[in-house]
Amino acid sequence: MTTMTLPRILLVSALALALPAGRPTVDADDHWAFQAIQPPRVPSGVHPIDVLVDRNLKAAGLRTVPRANMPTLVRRLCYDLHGLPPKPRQLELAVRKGLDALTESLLASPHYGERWGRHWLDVARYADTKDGVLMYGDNRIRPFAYTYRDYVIRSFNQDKPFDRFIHEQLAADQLDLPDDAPELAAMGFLTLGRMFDRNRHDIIDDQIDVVTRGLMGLTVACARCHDHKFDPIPTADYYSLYGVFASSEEPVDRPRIETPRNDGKKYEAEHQLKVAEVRKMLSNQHTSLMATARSRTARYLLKVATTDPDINETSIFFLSLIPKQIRPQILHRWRLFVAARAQPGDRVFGPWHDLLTRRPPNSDSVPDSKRFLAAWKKSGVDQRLLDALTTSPPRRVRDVTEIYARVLIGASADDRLPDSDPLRRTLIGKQSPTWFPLRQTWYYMSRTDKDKYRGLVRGLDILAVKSPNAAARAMTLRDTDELYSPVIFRRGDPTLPGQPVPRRFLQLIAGPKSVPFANGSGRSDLARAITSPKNPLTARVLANRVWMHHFGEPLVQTPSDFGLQSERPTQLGLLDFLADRLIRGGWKLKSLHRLIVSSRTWQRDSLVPTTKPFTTQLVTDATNRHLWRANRRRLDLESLRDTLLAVSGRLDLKMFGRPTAITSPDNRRRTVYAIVERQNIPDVVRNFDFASPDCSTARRQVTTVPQQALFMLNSDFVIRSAKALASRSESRDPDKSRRIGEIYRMALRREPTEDERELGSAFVTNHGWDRFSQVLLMTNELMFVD
Amino acid sequence: MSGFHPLSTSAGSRRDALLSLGAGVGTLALAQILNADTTALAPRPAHHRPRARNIIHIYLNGGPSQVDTWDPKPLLDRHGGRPIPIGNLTTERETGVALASPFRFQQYGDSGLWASTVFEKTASRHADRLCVIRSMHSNTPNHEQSMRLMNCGDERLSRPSYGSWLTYGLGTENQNLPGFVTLCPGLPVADFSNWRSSFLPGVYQGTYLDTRKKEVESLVANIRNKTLPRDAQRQQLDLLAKLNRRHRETRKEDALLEARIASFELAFRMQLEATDALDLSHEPKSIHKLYGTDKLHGRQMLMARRLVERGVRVVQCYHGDVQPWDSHEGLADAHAKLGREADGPIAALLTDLAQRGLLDETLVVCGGEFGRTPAVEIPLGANRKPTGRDHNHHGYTVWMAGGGTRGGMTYGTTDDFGYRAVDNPVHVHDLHATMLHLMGFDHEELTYHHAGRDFRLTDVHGRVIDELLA
Repeated sequence: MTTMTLPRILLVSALALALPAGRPTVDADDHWAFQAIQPPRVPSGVHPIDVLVDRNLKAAGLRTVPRANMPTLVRRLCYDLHGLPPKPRQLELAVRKGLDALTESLLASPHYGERWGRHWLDVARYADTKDGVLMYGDNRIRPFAYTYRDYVIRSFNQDKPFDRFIHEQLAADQLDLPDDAPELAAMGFLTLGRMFDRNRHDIIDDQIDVVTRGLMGLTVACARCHDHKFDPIPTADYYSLYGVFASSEEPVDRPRIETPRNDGKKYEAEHQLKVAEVRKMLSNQHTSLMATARSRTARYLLKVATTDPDINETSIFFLSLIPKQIRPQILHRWRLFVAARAQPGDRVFGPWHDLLTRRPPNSDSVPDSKRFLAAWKKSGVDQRLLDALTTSPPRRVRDVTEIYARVLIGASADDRLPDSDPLRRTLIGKQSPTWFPLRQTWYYMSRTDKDKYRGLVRGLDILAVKSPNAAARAMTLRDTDELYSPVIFRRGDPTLPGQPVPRRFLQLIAGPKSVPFANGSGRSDLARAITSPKNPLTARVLANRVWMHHFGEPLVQTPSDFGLQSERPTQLGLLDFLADRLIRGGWKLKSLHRLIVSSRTWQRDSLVPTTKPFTTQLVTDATNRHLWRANRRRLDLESLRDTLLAVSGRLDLKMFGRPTAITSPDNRRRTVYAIVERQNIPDVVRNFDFASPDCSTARRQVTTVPQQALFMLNSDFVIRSAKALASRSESRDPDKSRRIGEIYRMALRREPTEDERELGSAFVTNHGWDRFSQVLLMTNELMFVD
Repeated sequence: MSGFHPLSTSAGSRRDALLSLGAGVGTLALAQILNADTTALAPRPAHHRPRARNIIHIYLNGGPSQVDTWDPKPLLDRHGGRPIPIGNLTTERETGVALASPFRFQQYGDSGLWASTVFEKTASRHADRLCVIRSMHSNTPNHEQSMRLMNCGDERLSRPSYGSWLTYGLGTENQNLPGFVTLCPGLPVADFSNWRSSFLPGVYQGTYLDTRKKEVESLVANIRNKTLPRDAQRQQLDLLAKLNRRHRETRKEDALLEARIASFELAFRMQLEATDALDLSHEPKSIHKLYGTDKLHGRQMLMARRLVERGVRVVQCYHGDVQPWDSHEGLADAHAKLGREADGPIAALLTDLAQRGLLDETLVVCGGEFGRTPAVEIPLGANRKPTGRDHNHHGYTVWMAGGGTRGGMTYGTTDDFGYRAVDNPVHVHDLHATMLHLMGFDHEELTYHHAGRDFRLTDVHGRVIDELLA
């Protein structure tokens, strides 16, 4: 931790020590974000945003700059809502019918969802690809990831209420939708994260992170190993949510969400065959591995009696096992199982305790059984065990473990015995250390089987990748047959299981008496708790994100962290007003956009007069916290690329469907449809500050590095765009000055000045139209939005 | 170029921008970013006076065997073919009896450093420069996890590589080149995650260069304009500058506009310099001969030297595609061959760095992601002979040279058979802490605020091994 924050850490952790875990600290009680939303009163007949902003401005003694001119506002609005440059007819509409008319038209257009859906994909850490070893070429593609992206775009375009949007993303499977409902794709929100080498603890951690940071601005993942250092989030809460996701799994056969066309039928047939193959292998392996484990009871027990736990029994899950090896995880469960029962008086493992646990270290001999016989009888030790121990009294450790194995296996093989039989149930049934859930079979397979199984599973995806006509399938979750009952992992270590906790919502919001989730895994309950109007965070977090994308700056500077570390926003009243409006307006974003862009606040100029008091205000409120002017913004990767395609007349507006590589020369579609890579990230993507899909992104960084300039100067993409822009004008106007005007209008949406005409004309004479067009594409004027 | 703040998230204040970015570089660097005209890659001072300015990491990917290179075990050889009395430790695969080393060991230099014939040239010429850590250990016997641990300080989670941390902390000395370059013929296991920037800004990611290719364009994307001569491009930039200045007339307060104007000038200069860095043709014959540039590893080492010479902070050189040192079978031949490829160029690099006075300020690190088992591996297939060693994370060797390390020493020991680090064990986190220390950073203070907390390369671990410092 940095020294800057040290005093606070000390304070909070001291409090945390003094209070029982989970009780909100004094700090938290007063924290602005944890209070109920309190929208300030606003007089009717005036624009509420302006009233609230003006109040603050007045208190701070700041003056506002005037409204921007219409072309500036039109350009700003088009980038805000569509991420595309304005078309002449859009300017015309705004001039003729007012800016509101343009707003309506933009909100009704499907390009709106492409822009705002992409903002959400940053939060959702969306990628089209897998990560891990040997994930190249077709192997790296998640063939149906795009269904989530398309679902998001559609949802924004439909102005789907955001509470419903959240509910679908967490639990569309539990909303009684038809089996092929396109909304099932919503659960890509939970299934599209990184793969963490298939370590489910990390996968769940990522799910907890995206849900809590993305939806509520809470960094719950910080409570994985210890109670949250700043916020009132005990480790118990982390594992309550862990239990929700550990009780959910991805089905092998993903539900189909569109009707296959004729050319997609072949895929369907092959897919079903492959699914059957996967299921068959899984089930065979499950049965045989458990049977093998039972037959090796003697080996497991000997290990339990004579060795210390090895780290790979609990934390290394990718061993290259050979068939004859015992399974470390099963050994681990045997250790726990025996340790819990090897007590004096236990009817099965009482003798184990007396014979084995008290012997001197490194000694192989065991005490004489006769000494204990009377006590064993008295405590009701199972007769079959007693018989075995008296028939051939054990002398060495191995004798004891073999006697136990013989008796246990005997009972397990005797089908006449009830499953409740204490010996039989040691090897048969879910409580047995030899049992594991079907879905975890993979962890127990021998290397060659495991490779084969993985190949089969991978084959499902590869088949889909290679079948462009395959009907879409959704990347869903469903509740596991056996729900997982979470326990706290002490210090975040699965080898150190601690207190059990219920699957339930965060105590910070639901209170210390938070009721356990009642429905299955609890994903639906979780969604309801997150979107409850009583939850003070969700609407605020959302309103803040929306504001950020309209103004370039959020009201709360840490959009995914509203915890104690977050600064109380200057405009808290405004934030609360927006959050309240959002909830009362049925969680609809479009009305929020309307409200925001119709305000004087949003419509201010970004140009600052060089007179007082504005020159002073540039110093006193340099960050524009009080919103006395508009923030100039730079085009992000998508807007830049889409703009270059649009102004050069090359933009392909086809929506939805499978993605194409951004580096492909034929790819002229909007950037939101380009493959989002996780591993080999193309230079253009990382150099232009694209959101890393490794985890949920709160806001993108804005860096200025020469690699960006190199892209503008030398990349094929920009050079081709420049050429296309130049040739777009060519046929129409041979006159040099008029042609310059034409290129200006296409690239920058304005007339050149006389001076610019002259400069351009001189340059064209020496270097031609292509290179001239490229210069315009490289200008700051194109790159920044006033 | 005054007073701009390219790390800013918009026209907001630098302070806010930094807070939102997580300014944990330390107070000095913070002040630098706050006040200076800089870019995300501008050079910044470290926490303390650095001993090393650059790192060259020779990455013998796949896991070289410690007991066949730098950690002789006479007892292992004596037990060859018989069970190891202390028992076998768990690694990825089942292992059997002791496998004696097929390589001869001898002592070198005034320090009497032990080395096998695999690294004969390096040892015979540079024994007294090497600081050999024989007690490295890590967490898991698997390549991908151990690769990421060695590079990023975590096995599975997305964390920035140490090269990204250093570039974030120090900026890049030469604005015309990336601060962190990765050289590999092909791709190592866990590929791009080995040099990722993760939650740090993308500019800090390692620039990967496939050294099987020879064209310099692959160093920096778009480094060359295929159609436009340089003087024509200059004129293009002049027109751009004029237009941008007019645009800026009414927007003078906005530093981001100026930053972008400057970045075009920088890019223009970068085209020459970056191209030159990898162009080996200007090197004298003697240098080509020294490195053996007729072979890939020689070329790669020479490139590394040219890059650090030009101010690239971190250069990683991977031995080869996937995991060449992964000798599960036929270890005797495989390790001998790998040694023939790597040994000469490594010795040449050290010689060359030393003769240029660069070794003092360049930390050379050499090793794999783990070592190998002293016991023989039992092959999966029934009819295959046991002739190799399995992965071993319990104990292995990494050596360093130059950059403020003590030469001619060994540190730490493994047990009598070379299985587990027993005396003075050095975890990868400790190695990282020490590397950062040599580069001028307190590993606990080089932090970045992300997802609600401050992250660092060594997480909650790591200690600087003082005994390794000169």
